[in-house]
Amino acid sequence: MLFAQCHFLTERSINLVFTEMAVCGVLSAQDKGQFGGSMTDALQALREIYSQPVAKAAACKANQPRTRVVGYFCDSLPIELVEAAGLMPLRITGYPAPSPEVLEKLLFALLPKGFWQVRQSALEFLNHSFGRLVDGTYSMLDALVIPNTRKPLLNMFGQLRAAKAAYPDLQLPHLIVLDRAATRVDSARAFNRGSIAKFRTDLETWLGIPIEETAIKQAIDVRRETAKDLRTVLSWRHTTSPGISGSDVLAVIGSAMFTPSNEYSALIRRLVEQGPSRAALPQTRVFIGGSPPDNAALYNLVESLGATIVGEDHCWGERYVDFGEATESDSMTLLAQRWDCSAACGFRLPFTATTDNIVRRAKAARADAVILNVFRNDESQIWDTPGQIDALKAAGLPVLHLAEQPHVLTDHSSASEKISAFLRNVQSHLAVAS
Amino acid sequence: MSTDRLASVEAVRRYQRDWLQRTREQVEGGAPFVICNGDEAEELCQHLNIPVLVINYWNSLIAIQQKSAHYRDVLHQRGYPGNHFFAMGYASTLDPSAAPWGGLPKPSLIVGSGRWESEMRVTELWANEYGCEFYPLDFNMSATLIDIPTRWWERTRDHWRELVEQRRLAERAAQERGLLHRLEHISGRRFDSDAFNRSMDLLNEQMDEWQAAQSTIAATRPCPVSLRDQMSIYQAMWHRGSQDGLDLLRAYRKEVEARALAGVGAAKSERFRLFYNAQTAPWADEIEAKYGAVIVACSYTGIPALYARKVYDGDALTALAARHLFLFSLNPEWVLHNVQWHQCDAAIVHEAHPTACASAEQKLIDAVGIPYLALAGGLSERDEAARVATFIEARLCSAQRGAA
Repeated sequence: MLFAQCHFLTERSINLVFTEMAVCGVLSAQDKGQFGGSMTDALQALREIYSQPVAKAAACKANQPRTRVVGYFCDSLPIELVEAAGLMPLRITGYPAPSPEVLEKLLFALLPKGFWQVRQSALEFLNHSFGRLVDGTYSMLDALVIPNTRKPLLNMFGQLRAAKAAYPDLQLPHLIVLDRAATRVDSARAFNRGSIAKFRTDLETWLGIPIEETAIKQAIDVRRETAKDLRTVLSWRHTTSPGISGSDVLAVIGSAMFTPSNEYSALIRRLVEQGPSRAALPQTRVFIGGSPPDNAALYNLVESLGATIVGEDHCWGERYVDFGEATESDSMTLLAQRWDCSAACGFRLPFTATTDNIVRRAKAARADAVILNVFRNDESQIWDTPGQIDALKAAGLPVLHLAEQPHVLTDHSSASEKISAFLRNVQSHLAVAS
Repeated sequence: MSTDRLASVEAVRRYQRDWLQRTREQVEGGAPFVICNGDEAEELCQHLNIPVLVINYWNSLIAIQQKSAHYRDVLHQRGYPGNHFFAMGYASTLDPSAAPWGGLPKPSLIVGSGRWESEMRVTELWANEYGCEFYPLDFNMSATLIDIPTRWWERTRDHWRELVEQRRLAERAAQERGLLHRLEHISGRRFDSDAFNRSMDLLNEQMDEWQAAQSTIAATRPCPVSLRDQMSIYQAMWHRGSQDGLDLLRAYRKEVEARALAGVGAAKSERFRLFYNAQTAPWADEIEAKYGAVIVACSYTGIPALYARKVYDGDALTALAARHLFLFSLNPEWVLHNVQWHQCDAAIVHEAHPTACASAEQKLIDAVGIPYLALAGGLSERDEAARVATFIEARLCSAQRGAA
């Protein structure tokens, strides 16, 4: 039980972690030999994990069949409960996109027809996630947690069951819903606390064993320590000359969601010890907001055009370390508080909470400019974006709004043109100001 | 298509016009009023005698006045790309100069809809624009977290607890009670539990009348009521739970039965009966004239009866909250039920995403030997009409000729 061991050990040697990664097939022997102490090696390992989100879980499942893998969506999920149960959490992505035939057969053909069919299938990145769940990409999953952080995401619960009903041979994991109320009245907060307790019970019922308090506390402690190290890494981008690129931060944070936490914490510790990059990165500081990028295409494009991404407000970025601010000492209360208070896929009530949040983050990142990349039909973002633009501009930040974007950046030239023009404009203003 | 309309339908339309005029005058005179989404909080407002403007009614009014394009532009200019029917009302407040009624006066409160994130946000932005109170509610008609039983429509009235998740129901009922307190404050009136229960009884009776009328429509050849009238009678929904609402529906049921008895058909000739899953087909007149193919039912014809809820332990509020969580599903079984109930010879269904494989609806309807036409999204009216004509020729006319 490789990962079960990982969860309950608070101290591990870096070498043991790397050895395990090699056992799991994530690292080649050559990779293992590279971990001799340079920062590039730790970062390279994280990049490797990020570039193949399912490889680690798949390899571990193949090598250790008793390992149980739990897929999930959203950065606000209390994965500590999953880890405390001795399970490996694995965040689901919709990248690369599945084949259109899979979506036709298992999603579009089975949706209620008419207006509802359009509404429930308009969000490409979730359709793609659905497609990958049913096309075998995530065949290593034993369970899947679907949180109510977006209505189209919650609908996936019914869509997966409909697919299974229509095609009984389809292999699907056990499904668990984690519910959530969006309103901010006392009863809704109590409902959200109850949802976390129910989530724990659902996991325990599925496993047939209780999840121990000490294990939950241990998992929280591990994540808290990791968050501390991650904040150190994030601080490298806040210096006058950024010490890490946005693409690398995306890989560093993203790989946390594809790796068991103890193993990840060892890697991130290593990265911290080795310090920021000494390579000169572009000085134009860009902040990213909008729809959730579950791949690095946008970051790579922006940074290839002479900017460094120094912060973001979406669920694949620095929001991941937000929970560390919670002060509750009781484990379940802390997890419930985080679930209740965190943004549901960016959506918060009231509206001003989202605008205040993005302005605060962008200012903290000392950004020169902001790019808001909004997917077409992303109804969580479409209505927030104009207000965010107003608030960011009022705070003195120029904004580029990339509206109606596809999930996977396909038209590089068009996006590239817009971003280039925007960056040139920002750079000329900065030159005048200096 | 026959242009005759049922007298009872005309009566409902007249009643609705008068009621809207009175409401408009009240509101313009400064009476408190509330804006909410359909099936969110109308009964609560009506019980406290607060005029309530249902968002999709207002949006439809904008569409009927052919102002959708203008208001889409208003939204685009504000940075909201796409096509958002639900936000037409909000847009009309951003630019009241072109709005119906010359624009709405400031409401006392806008209820935030939990049906979809965008609806929650649009209602919040709308309330911000007016500077009025925003009262969001969770979970309205959202994804079901339980397995819906087969023939679920036979269980909505008496077994509604089976159709909703119990934690959600408790929370929704609590939130609706909170809203009720706010509405009491706004109206200066008190909630009367006995009166509210009586109103739920009236609502159930009203839906019984509706169901009886629909059963007659379904069972009678030729179909005694056009789809247009079946949809127009929906306006009685605005008055559910009132004696007036019951009287309007009772008159409708009696007239439908009388027409059925007299063999009066809505169409000049009815050779084929069709199910169509949208409300208005631009090619309906053409196929009726050419083939005697009459649309007798759509996805919405069977829905009114689903509003009925039995009240247990005198707790009408919880029964209502349960209905707000689950009113209906448009699953394939429901489509098949309506096709068979209305003795349809074929089903024509819009499928937004054309697929190489048969949809769940098609498989189910094919299996009982009823011809099915999937209409792909994005077709022009002309192409749609041509496909429907070809389908009727190939699947209905030729089969009839063969049988003869």
